[in-house]
Amino acid sequence: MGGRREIIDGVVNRIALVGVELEGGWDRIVPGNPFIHDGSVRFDIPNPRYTMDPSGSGLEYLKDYPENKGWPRYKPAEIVSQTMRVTDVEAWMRLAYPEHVNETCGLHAHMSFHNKLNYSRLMSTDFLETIVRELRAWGEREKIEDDRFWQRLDPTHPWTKHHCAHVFLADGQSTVKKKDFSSRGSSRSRYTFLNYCMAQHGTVECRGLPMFRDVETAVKAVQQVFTITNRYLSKIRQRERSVRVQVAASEPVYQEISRIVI
Amino acid sequence: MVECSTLPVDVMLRRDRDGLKLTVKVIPEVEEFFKKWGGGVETPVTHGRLWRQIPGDKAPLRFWTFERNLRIEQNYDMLSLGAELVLPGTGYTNLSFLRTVGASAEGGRTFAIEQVMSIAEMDTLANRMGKLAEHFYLAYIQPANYRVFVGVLDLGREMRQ
Repeated sequence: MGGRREIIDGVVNRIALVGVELEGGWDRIVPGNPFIHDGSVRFDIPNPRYTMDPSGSGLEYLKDYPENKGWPRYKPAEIVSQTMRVTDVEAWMRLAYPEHVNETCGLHAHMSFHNKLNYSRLMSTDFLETIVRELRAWGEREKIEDDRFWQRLDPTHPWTKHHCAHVFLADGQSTVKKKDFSSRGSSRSRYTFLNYCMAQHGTVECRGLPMFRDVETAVKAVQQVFTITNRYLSKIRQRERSVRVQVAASEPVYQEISRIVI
Repeated sequence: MVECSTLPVDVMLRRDRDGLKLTVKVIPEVEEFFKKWGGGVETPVTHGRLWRQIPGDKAPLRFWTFERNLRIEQNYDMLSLGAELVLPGTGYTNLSFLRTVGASAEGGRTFAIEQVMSIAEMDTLANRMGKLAEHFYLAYIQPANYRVFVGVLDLGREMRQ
């Protein structure tokens, strides 16, 4: 990384680019940010009737909106940002944040790095423990009252075990080239708090945040993930060690085999 | 850099900015083995896209052609040039780097692998690689001399005596 070092939140920024995924329900179309179907996002709308948007957007929306008592106008989905700099995240999130969220909606943050060594250094149980611990401390400082945030930090919670397990599967995950929705429970499951999707996106993905009810808290939480990561990398001081594989020479084999025929 | 040694196989693996740096040094018998059975034909990386020549390294990164996957009840792979060191799917250890042209030269050959890896996995891999490389050496490289003797026992002569 050449040139002047960028400082964000008091620490050198070692993150190259980031991406954010927002899940929820929208009442409006976000220009330049298409909705992507996500079957895991569900709103229990009683007897929903959808119709095609007459404006030609190709999207379906609730037929009797806005009389439908606060349900999302458009079919629940996710919006995935373009890759952007850390400093551009807040503006994008404020632009794209959905009007409706619930417990099925996750907030995922992806981080890429200028070099693979930094990526490798995050592949440790120590980093997983650090990010959970630091997010918990942040939540206490901010007095977060959202139960879903605390559930995701609790490794024993059934929802957490299913969607963002506190399990370290980095090496298996890093070689997965395609999203595998049936990987849950395997050594390459993507449903972990940190998903090392190197081969797919070149990123480390934090899946442990919920979609907060307000965008301000959501922005702070995502920025906290970036800060924790940068702080972790800045504390690494030891030189990389190498591993050696050596095969020793053996004495030649001499063997006699005899058979007597009667 | 690997110092000159008479170890049949000497491999060093380290994480760096490009992913991993692998240095392989073998005895001439190992390189000759692959050269002979591959017809003496050199090939660039064929299977995957992760292996890269070190910038500034003058000699092109080449490997001896080899088409038989040697695997007698052992989980290693000799064909997957350019792929991950642990093959996704099978989990086989990728030892195809032993086919590197020039691996028996002084200092061996070093190249980059665009792969990320945890320290714990590196340690596990090194342990497994050592056992499998030893198996390959004992099965195919270690000199072996067999004397087979078939004799005939003449019972009639015994009885005449």
